Amino acid sequence: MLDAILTAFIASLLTFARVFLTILIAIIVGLVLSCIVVRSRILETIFLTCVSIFESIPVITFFPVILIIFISNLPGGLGVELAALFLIFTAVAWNIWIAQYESLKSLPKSFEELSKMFNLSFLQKFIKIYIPATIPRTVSNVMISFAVGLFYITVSEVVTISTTTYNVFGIGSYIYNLVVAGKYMESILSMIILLTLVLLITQIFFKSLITWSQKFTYQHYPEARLRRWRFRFPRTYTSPRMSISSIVMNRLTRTLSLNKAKFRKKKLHPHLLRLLKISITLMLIIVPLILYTPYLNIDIFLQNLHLIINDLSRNFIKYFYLLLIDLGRVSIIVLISLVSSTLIVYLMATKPKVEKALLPIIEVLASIPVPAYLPMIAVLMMISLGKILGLRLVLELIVLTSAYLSTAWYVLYNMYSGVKNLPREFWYVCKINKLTFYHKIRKLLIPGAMPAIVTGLISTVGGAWGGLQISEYLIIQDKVYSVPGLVALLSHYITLGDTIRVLSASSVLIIFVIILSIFVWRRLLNSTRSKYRIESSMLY
Amino acid sequence: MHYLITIAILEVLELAFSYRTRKGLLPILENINFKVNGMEFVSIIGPSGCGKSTLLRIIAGLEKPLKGKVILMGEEVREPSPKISMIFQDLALFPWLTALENVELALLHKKLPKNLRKQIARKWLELVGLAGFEDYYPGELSGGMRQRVAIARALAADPIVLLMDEPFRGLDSITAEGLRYEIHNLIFNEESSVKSVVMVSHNLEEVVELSDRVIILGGRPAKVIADVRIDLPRPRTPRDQEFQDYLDKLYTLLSSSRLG
Repeated sequence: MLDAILTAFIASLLTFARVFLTILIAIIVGLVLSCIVVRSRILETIFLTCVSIFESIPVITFFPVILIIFISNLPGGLGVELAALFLIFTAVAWNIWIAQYESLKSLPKSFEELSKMFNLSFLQKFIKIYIPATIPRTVSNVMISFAVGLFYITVSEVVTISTTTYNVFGIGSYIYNLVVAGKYMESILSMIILLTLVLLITQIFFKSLITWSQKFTYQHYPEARLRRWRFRFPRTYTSPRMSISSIVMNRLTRTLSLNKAKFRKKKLHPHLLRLLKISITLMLIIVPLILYTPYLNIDIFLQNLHLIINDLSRNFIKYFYLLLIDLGRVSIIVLISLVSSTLIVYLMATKPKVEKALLPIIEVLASIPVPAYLPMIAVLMMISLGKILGLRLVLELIVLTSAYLSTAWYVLYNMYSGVKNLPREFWYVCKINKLTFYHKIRKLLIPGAMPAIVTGLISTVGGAWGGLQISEYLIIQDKVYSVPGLVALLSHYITLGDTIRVLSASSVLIIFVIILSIFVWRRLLNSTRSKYRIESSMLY
Repeated sequence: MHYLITIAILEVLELAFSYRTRKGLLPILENINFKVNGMEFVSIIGPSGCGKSTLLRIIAGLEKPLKGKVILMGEEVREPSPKISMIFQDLALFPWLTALENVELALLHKKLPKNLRKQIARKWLELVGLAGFEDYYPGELSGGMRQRVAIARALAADPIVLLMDEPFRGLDSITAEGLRYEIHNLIFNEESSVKSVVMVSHNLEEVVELSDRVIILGGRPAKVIADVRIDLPRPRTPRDQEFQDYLDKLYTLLSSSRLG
């Protein structure tokens, strides 16, 4: 028993180390990038376009492909380790980069002028101005990145390809193996240890880190009016994606806003901008391919390509059908998340006591990675509900539960922060005029939080895919439990080691997810956002 | 002195209020007593941060006093209601609703049919001089027009008492002057149900121009240190000597309140 505790402890520390390592890399790279990028209009556009594309694509859809590339090119353990790190990196980096970029971008001109006056060198400016300026927002984004990273690392620690299971030692793989082996006592114990450590890190380490970072805050404009009431979430903690979308939004408002002329001088020509964006998107696809070709045997590549296309032409209907099922699941999850968040946020906004009680609970729940406790929930649900509902329905329920728990937090956080940012007089108006529950939600809560809600939606969709990934294909005690779905099929092919089919099914998933996120989600988000943001931005 | 037969619409009795701080209770208001009669416009002035806005929120029922009570037409105010309507310092117009929809907010509680509700809201916008601007969003209106929307919304609730928290603060002086000139008629219009007004302000000229009575708060915690009746015929103009005399009197009282 002591052994198990000690192992779980060490495994957790290792997992945390991986997450922090990727976060550290992301911070350093992001700092350098954003320092360069704020100096040039063109580089800035390239940077923002890339980041906004990357962040709107659920990383998890690429995982099978990345895994195969890394494992087939690198010796066993190293390949999996690097694939895991790479995946985490793509999950934690973007919000930190955007935070850094925005911090530098919003740095008052006087700082730059001051440094010119005192003849500071670039290195001096970097240390004395740029780094401190980025600290508050970086720190609060590290908290989110930590939670997201933890989610993905526990997914990526265990990978089974054909008969070989690649294990990266860490708490995710440790718990997984315990559950697979049927050692439930030990697995619960490990979960408790993980939970305690996560709690310690978020409640003590991050809290003090945030307090420390507050002294670097620079108030750009008097916001005291909105900040009268206490905030539990630091402002930026809640809006990793909001920042990116707000930039996109700013660009949108600039083109739409009445005082357009003011901005026009600084902008690139719109056609040039569009051309640039399209070429960047193409480059993002082509460059990795070119980089990858030296490692490629052309004959084998063409042969594989042929096989993939063959498989696609035969099975496309099946893949597409399964994709639609998964899309349905994602939509249901998003809908449920929206409704439940609305109710919870309403309660928290109107009843201070509920807020006080719920906030810490939500903070803690959100910071525990779902994959760590999912097997436990799955087993429990199967035992308790299996007889009543039948296995098929229970599995479906497990998938929905897992996807919900993986993703509901994004909407909840975003909505909460959106609502908390509303002037308290708005609530007074509702109280004085005795607005009903329905009217308060329709006239105040939803429109007031709308910009925040829609920005949270991108993350929610991504999170929902992640939730499907971890739950559609469960292996418990050598038995496979799975529901129909493209994500499940992919996991199945990975387990079989059927590289060709992994690639062809992945390509269907990737293409559709990209199309959806770029053409459907983003459009939807932008149009909704323009309606609500513009009007509210004009008032104050 | 006038001896009119007047009924108290609003009574503030033995009111006390404290903020909860880390170091314990910080008393803000203490032993506040006053009455507001029918058709009376009362202003509250005092040094910044003395608790004027808090007092207004307590009267509205938005904040609970530590001691004492507020009585509206013989009944204690326990919670906010449309009977005591308020125009907020920053207006609190919902930016995602049009002018008309903003006014409709004050009518929702009456559960009227939609058409009638819109009709009443439109009537109020007309009364404040905004006919034709029903479908504009607050962001598309000028400061003075927004102010009018806020007034229309506050009056549409059919309040008995209207509270105003520095209602002209955000306006340029010319717009403010024009609106001040109209506001007395707007509020005590025959369509309006308003019986009394309580306004918080920093601007003494506006206070003398509009008020029938001025209550001066001072000290820490704040108490009522003076209650001045402004006995001037309307319309009033700052060019009158009497107007200036009242202004001087209030200045003197306010300065002494800072010391006290």
